[in-house]
Amino acid sequence: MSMNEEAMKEAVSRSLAARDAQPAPGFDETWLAAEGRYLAWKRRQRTFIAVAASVALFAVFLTVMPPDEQAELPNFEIAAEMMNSTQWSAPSDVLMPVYSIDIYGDLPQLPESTDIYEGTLL
Amino acid sequence: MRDDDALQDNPHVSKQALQDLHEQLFGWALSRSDFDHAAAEDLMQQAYVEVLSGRARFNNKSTLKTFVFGVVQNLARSQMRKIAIRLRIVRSHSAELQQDELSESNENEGEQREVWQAVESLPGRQRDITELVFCRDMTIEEASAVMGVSVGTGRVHYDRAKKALAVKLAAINDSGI
Repeated sequence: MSMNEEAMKEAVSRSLAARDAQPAPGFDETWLAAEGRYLAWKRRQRTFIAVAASVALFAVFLTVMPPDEQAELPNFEIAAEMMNSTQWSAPSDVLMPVYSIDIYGDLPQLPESTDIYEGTLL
Repeated sequence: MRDDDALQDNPHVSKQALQDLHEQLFGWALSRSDFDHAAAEDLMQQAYVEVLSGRARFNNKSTLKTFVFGVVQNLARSQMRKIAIRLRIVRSHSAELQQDELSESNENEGEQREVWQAVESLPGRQRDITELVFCRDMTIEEASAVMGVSVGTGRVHYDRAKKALAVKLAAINDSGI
């Protein structure tokens, strides 16, 4: 290190010492505060892990749980109900306006013709 | 904590070794937080938390001093950046006030203040390496590690800083303070 550099170092060191004259806080005091922060961080981390694990377990439970088959099936597939009724509606018509016919009670009126064509009633 | 004083999550670091570096580290933290005592204390506590938790892990590849100075530097860069920028803006607006204060203070104090202002007026990395080498007893290699740059880059910053500082200090001496 040249002399100039030494002089520069000396001047800068002195100027910093004058600038940074504030006493450092005690190590034990700082360390205790840091340990407090660390423990609080650990507690937050544990809580977060516990919540995340609970959510994951609940999601797995919902996925794995056997479905309620009776509730899942549409009405028309329930055999007993189908057998005791003459009502039926197509399952694919769910988006259509509700309309069903009783094939024994509501016989459609067929158009009748009295016109004869070549001797045969149409 | 284990009996041998080593930290649980950082087995190469002991509490005693940190205690030995505490004052020097506080000086560095103070400088990183624009000499705001409360901010420096907060920075120190956070640095110790990083070491305690093992998020900043010392692997014995450098000196402990370089490592903890680097932890403080990185934290200061990430957390204190906004605060530091705000403080710099405030400081630039209060330049006139500082000049008034200078005229009131004694000659020696004024000169030291001018010298430090010359250091602070250097670009960030030049200022950092000047402080680390001149005031924190580090080699250029150690200072480069703290700053997270290669040794070659550190040398370039150091060389430029010395040249710029020599010009500024000569101007201060010529002004007759």
